[in-house]
Amino acid sequence: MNLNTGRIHVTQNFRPYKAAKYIKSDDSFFQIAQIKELCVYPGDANPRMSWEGMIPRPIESRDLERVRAHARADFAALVKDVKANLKAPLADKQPIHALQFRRIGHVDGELVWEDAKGERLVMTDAGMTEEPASSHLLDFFRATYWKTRSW
Amino acid sequence: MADNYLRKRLEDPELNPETDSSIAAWLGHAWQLTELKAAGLLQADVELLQLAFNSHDDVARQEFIDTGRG
Repeated sequence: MNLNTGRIHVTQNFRPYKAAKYIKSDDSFFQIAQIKELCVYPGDANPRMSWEGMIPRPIESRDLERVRAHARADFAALVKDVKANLKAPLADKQPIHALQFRRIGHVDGELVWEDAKGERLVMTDAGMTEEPASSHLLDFFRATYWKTRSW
Repeated sequence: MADNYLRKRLEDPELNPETDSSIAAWLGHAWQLTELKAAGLLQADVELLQLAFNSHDDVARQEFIDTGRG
């Protein structure tokens, strides 16, 4: 996430088979990347980005607060925005958004997120064909986020 | 949409690629950083936090693709 704007961007590193051994692969990154000049590609919900130089620094709790503050807290409004955007022929068909939830839990075996207004969304791994499933990792969240009683 | 775009480009090969959608990249334009800079698509002093990362083998494109989201 771009902590300045709250936009979620994408980095892509293409390694054609024929040249793969000459191209360094990207890896996951667990720090804050401080970037003097960020280039954002033309795009839609999650435009691609790249840069030439960056300075890493450790993540602090205030950074996570910024992520939380940028996350969408009103699920109904977000669903409306996403649906409206999907109508455009050139829309990104798998837009990525951060959600700010009040609680998460299982309802009838399904993973459900609820916002402050009580709006609920069912979380699944559908649609992300080239990505491994990840919803089950939410089970490792701190138990304080989970509310399974009285649903 | 793509048809229209390509026809316009055929008529004027010097036309700059469109910067208000992903269409140029989808139709094979490999953006260079200098082009992005020239098009004003620069943001100064940004801080990024990676939310997800995945590498996959795209058999159709004959390449590996490392994708970070953040």
